[in-house]
Amino acid sequence: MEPLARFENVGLRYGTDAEVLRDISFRLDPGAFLFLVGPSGAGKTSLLKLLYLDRRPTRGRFTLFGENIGAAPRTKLPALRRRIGVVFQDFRLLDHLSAFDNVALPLRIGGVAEAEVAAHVEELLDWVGLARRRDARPRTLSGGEQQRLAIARAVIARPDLLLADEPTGNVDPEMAGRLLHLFHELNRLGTTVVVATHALQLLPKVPAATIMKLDRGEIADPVGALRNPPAPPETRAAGAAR
Amino acid sequence: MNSFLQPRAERYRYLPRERAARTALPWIVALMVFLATLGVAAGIGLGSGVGALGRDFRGEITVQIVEPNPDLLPRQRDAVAAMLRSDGQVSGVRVLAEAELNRLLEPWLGGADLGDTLPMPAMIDARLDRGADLDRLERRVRALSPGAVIDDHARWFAPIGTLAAVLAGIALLAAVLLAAATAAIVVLGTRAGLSRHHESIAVLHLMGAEDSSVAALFQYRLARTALIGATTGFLLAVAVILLVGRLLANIGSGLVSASYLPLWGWAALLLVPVGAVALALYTSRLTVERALRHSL
Repeated sequence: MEPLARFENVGLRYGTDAEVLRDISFRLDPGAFLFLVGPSGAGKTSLLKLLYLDRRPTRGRFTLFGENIGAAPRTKLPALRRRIGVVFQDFRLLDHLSAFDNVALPLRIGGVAEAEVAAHVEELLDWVGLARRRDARPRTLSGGEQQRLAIARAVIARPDLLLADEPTGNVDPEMAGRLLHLFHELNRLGTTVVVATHALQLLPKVPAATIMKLDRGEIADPVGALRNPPAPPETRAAGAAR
Repeated sequence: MNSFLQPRAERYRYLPRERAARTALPWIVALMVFLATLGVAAGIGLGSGVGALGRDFRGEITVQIVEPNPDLLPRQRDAVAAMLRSDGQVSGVRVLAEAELNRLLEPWLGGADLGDTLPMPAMIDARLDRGADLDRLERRVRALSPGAVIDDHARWFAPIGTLAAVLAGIALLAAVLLAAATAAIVVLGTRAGLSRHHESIAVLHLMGAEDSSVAALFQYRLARTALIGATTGFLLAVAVILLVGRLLANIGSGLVSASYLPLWGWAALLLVPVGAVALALYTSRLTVERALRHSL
């Protein structure tokens, strides 16, 4: 099977600083669910930045949707990005837009007809419990509501690849469970999901997930033990991660 | 502008709306278009004035027969006139009558008949064909009347014409420099907009927005701003041109009254605001695309 993403000895540095990612090699198959774990500064967000095409690798070869990202022309990237949904750690909602318009943005950028946009957005806002706040500006929403809004925006266009950076950091355990359930459902429908998280208690909720630990910019367990950890009673690791 | 012209990025407010009138840009564009329109009007007006007078003077000569002996003067005058009429390069030979000479001198010497006390030169107006050899003609005239002087009208008009042409050139150059200044201001304004909305643009990019849709949004907004500014500046300039035109018409001096705006000149003036808007749009698009090229 052609991998959705493949990293081959990938390195990343910002400017002239030391590398924040070193010798990253793994493959992400279509339909996989991957948890990225590791301490702060391990490189989880940097790895996600490569995946949502905010950066090109500074060395090595990174292939996404069959495209060599290091060599791809800029003009090819927007179409690839429209296949990716991202939940940013700091949400990055557009403050001048209402909750409805924020969620509608990926569909509108994708050129979806407005009638279809309205139906989809209303439904998803209802699902994340923000139907009554459809006209609210993000700055008037609580942290948890903003996070749910960011997640709604990330999944509205049914992306092929969903990336989430600490997506449950600001929500209560019940909502965290519901959001993870949403990710899981999308994954079951074929979306490849990558979640960077500190919340290790979430890992068992997706039994089929692969777990990859990063530490100081490197994959922490070259032999794969942590990426495919021995299954605790309720956890079943699956999916190849290299 | 109606919604048909609105790019999708503006319709759905990818970036916060900003009221154009609250920024300095429309006023700066108005000022630039105002000055540039005046510059182009001055350039075209002076140019057409110089052209018209130059055409009038081109080839016009006056031969002055200066002969102190009153017996010889008519003979020399008639001989020179006859020679000129027979010359293949000369046409429109006309000997000025004494009454006509008196009329010319009246502003300086008064109405008294001074013909007996003041020796008057005889004068012959003529027109040279294009490419006529003035030196050859002068030699032929001098052979018949050694004291004769040929006054080539174009020769005395030349310095004035040169000055007017230089002034016209400077006015047009000023208009071009104003266009360059407008472009520079648009670049700065667009960069400021890009900087102000840097975060939003980054998010739009990460969601797959094309550079062209961000550029179209900036272009659309700038088009409205530039259109308001350019129309205001142009209308003010036209009002000034009409006022100055009326004042010049009252002066009635050669070059000044000849400096009118021909019909094509007004059409050219209309190109100033249109050009300013087009320049603003092009510069804005180029600036956005160049800036975005530095991002991934």
